[in-house]
Amino acid sequence: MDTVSQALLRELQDRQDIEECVSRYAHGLDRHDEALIADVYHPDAKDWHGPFAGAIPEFVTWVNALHERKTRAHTHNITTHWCELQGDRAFADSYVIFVLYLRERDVVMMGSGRYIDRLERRAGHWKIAERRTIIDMRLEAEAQPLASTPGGYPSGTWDRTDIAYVPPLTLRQPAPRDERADELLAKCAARRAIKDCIVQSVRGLDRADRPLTLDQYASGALVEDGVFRGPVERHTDLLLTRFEQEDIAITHNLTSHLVEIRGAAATAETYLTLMRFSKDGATGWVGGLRLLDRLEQRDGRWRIAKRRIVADYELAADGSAVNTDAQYLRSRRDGADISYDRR
Amino acid sequence: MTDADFADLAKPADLVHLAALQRLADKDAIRECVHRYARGIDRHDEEILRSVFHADAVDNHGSVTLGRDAFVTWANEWHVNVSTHHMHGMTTHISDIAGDEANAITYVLFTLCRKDGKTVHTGGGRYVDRLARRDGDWRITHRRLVIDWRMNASAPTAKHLAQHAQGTWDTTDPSYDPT
Repeated sequence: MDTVSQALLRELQDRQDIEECVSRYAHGLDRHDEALIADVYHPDAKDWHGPFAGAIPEFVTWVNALHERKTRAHTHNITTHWCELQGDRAFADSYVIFVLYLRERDVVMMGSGRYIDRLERRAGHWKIAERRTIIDMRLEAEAQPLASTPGGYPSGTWDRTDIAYVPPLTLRQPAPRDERADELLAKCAARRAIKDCIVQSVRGLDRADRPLTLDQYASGALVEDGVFRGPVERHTDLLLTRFEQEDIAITHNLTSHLVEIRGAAATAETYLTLMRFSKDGATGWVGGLRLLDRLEQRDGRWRIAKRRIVADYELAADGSAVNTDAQYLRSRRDGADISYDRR
Repeated sequence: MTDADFADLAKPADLVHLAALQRLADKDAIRECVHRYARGIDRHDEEILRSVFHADAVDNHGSVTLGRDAFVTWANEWHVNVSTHHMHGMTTHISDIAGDEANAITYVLFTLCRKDGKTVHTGGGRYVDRLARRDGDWRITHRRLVIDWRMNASAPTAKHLAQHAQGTWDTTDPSYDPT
């Protein structure tokens, strides 16, 4: 394997490791597993988490006690994820849909936030060196007790009886396979580049960063969104104006993602959970959409040539939406958002 | 690959790189397999759904434990009975590979539009999967589903998305049209 391929492989591994590090945090947190949570941070890391600011051993105790006191169950769903590598340092912006089934009321609180992380590779392991947590909005809806519908689904637990603790596998070195290494590497790189392109297209909308969004599209790219059919520049301007006028907060959370590549062309289907907290009466709204993208690779760069948007559901959290806790950091829709910070 | 390339592969450093590349590709294939499930179930596409499981796979959906083909039929019928539209959004994902076997945990946010047109049901769960690679293909051999929370919200009275194409449960869905 030549030096260029080795560097590409290293970069793809770094990105995969970093995304999984953020996911492992969510898994550890939702199981109240102190060791798992602590393991995603370096020993000297700091977490700025609303009312808590400080070192990790104290953070772990604080965060578990908070969830135990306030909730019956919770999940932290990592959605849109972006990371930028700088040697042994990395900066990541990971969206989270956090859902708390409250203990005191029959209410499920669904919120949208972001983890802004500085990660470092030490002794070959990527872990968080500094984390800042943002909360954009919280919505509320009536909880449906898990026991009220037949089905016999197991619920989560906060200890090692949870079924996610499957018997560990015996580690064996995977045998290298005979698929051509250069082709396999190129395929992995293209899949990562396409996903990153789609992620950046929606991050630009959330930060009102027009150049970032437009940079993900090929020239002459078209968008079909409801009754809108036209160039991406006009579509982006319409969306940014609407969000600015109507919303206090907006987050584009990407979930299920599939891509099919044929040479220098690709199609992708990406689910979008769009969460809006509007100025008009402070109501919450969640939309379930799909981005159907046709992408092209030109001069080594993947870009979106056409985007169609399909809608599957929308829900309102009527009158029960609540704005965010003042103790948490807030998003900004400009370059002063902390995700642009590279210190 | 040329013969010279193969000669290079004999070097220990290259074996390490190949193993790393294989692990990268395997983890990507496992994530892809789990995400393909969402597409299969949301489009009621039996072919896609079957492609997620090995033929002898077992799925534990609560008290319902079924083999692959019976599960596919049951799951589609169940969704038709309780909803008009639904989405399964895959989020937090971790995988752990050892040779040709793997464990994976994938969080799901599922949303069902109820037939009354007024209620939208959303829940959070986790798929706890055992996967195996057979003939180069990563698929699920055993799946268990945990449900962590559920809520009922209302469909908005003023619909923002009324003018959008809506998903369907057949190949007329826009995602089957490559343009």
